Amino acid sequence: MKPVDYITTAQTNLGRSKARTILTVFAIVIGTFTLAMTTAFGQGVQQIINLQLQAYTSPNLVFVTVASGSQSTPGTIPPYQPGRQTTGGEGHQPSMNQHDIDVIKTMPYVSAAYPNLRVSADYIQYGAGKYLISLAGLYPGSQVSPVSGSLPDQNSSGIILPYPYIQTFGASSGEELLGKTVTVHLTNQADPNKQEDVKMAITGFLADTVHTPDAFIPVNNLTTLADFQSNNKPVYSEVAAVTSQPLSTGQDQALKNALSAHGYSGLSYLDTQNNFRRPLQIVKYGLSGFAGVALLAAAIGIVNTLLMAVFERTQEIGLLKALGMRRRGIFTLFIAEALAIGFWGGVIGVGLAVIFGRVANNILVHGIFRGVADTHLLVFPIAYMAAIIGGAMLLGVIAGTLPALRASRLDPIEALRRE
Amino acid sequence: MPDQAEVFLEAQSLHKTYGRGAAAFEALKGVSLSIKEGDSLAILGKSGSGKSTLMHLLAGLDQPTTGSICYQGESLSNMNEGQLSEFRNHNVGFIFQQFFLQPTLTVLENVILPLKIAGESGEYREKQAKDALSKVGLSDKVKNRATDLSGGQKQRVAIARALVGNPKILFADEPTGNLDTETASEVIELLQSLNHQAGIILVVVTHDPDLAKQCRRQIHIKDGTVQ
Repeated sequence: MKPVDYITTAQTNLGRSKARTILTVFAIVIGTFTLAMTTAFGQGVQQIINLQLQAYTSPNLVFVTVASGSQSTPGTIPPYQPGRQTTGGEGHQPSMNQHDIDVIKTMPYVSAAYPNLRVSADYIQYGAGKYLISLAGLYPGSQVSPVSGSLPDQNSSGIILPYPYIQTFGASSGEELLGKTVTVHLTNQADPNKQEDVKMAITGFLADTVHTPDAFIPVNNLTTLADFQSNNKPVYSEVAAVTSQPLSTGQDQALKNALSAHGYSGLSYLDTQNNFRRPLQIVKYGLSGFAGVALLAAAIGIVNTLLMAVFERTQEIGLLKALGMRRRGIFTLFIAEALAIGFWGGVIGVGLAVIFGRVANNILVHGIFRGVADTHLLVFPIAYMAAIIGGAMLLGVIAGTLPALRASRLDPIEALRRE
Repeated sequence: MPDQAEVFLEAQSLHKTYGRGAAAFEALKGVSLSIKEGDSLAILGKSGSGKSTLMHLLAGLDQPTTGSICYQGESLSNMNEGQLSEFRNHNVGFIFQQFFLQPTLTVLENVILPLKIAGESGEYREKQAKDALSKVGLSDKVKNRATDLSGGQKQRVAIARALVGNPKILFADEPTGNLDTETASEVIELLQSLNHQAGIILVVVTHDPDLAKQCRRQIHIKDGTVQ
């Protein structure tokens, strides 16, 4: 027979006992639907995490703190050490100083180190409007990714702002505001009469995120602002170590070991990513396991369905053999049926998942992700979806082998004699 | 059929044993026969005599335990499963007592089946099937479901299916066994005309004395041997 004849004959044969075929396919649909949803969820979360993280930090940054701080060993209060004090806020995290920066600069892969400062300015002014603003340092080689415009040059007086400022400044898109000047107003903490207006040019906007991140300005400019506010005595508990390139897992571990040997603790981009991912991965594996069990049960269903088909069509198989169909042909015919069951189970399962995903994304965009542009919790990459359909077909072939072998080995004379 | 016609099929001392040891049953105990071009042969015998086994061996559906079958000098025992299947597909037509039409297919689709197995193209096989159906007088039933036909019509569809690959030889196993007298005689007439006019060799296994009489030769099988 020609390949197309195998396919059409298999389809016709499946149509002969519709209820049985539908139930068998449905069992696979449960498995492929769950797998597709799990994959879509994993992909979506991955994208969201990356998108959100890219607005806060960069893969070439490791944040270093003193290891004795209660952030590193929860439930403890560190003893007093000269030169270290708390920096306010939670955690009793000891402050750090120039000595720490000098040590951290000598660590492997580290090309530069800066105090990780935040500057709370009085306000940012655009036109007549004055708004709250928090500023953070943009480190050299940063891979924070803007959605419009670009990162400010290290030697410029540029600023990249969080997404919500676009609307706040009365613009409909980030592009409208690129190159426009804003004024950041600061007051000296010791002397309220010492005030300063710093003009900055908008170079771009950060991706929209659930929590609004800080605006970034070049790290040296930030240090200048912090020095003005604090009379050259900024207090900080975290040092940003800049690495020459994003670190691999092994390099990451090597750097953290070196830091730990000097009494520091490091939090890398990979750590942050993993902290977000880990609980979601547990959910993902759980659902995949469920899908696996469903597919195993579905495979048994295919075996059962096809064994029944072989039993019911014994005479027909005998006739086909008498008319000259080879064992291999009979085998292929039943494998084609198994393949078709797997195919439809895969296509319907993935199709339903995509439809369901569209609806769910729509609801979420108007629900918990409202205002966060371009956020899809469920992402269906074509390659993964094709792999799920392919996997369902492979499952069909494996499950169909036993019944197909049994059919191919029937003795035509015996088969024709059967009433 | 002229006496000097070429020998088409030669079977020599066919033995067929089922089972082994104490349970062994010898269905054929040394049957030899030859069939010439254009011949028609009736194989008669009681049920269990071995006549069906003989037909299965001659048609290449089963292999003899010992003995040989040669078609135009070519031995079936040298063929593997695939070659034997292809041999049946190209050279042999089968007609069964129970017709074995597929109920879900149309008349045309049933007749096409051997050509589909052979891997012929759609256009060619449809044309061949329509030709075969016109030979059995069922051109008007092409689109019907096989189940909507009468017994006689069903057997004619089965004959068309046997003819569609243009075989040299037709094997018919009790072709009139499920038919009433009138339709049986129609089917017999059809088979005879195929033999006389198209020169297709006919091998019929039957109880039916009317059918057997129509064949040029009759052999009787009893307890696995030719009487």
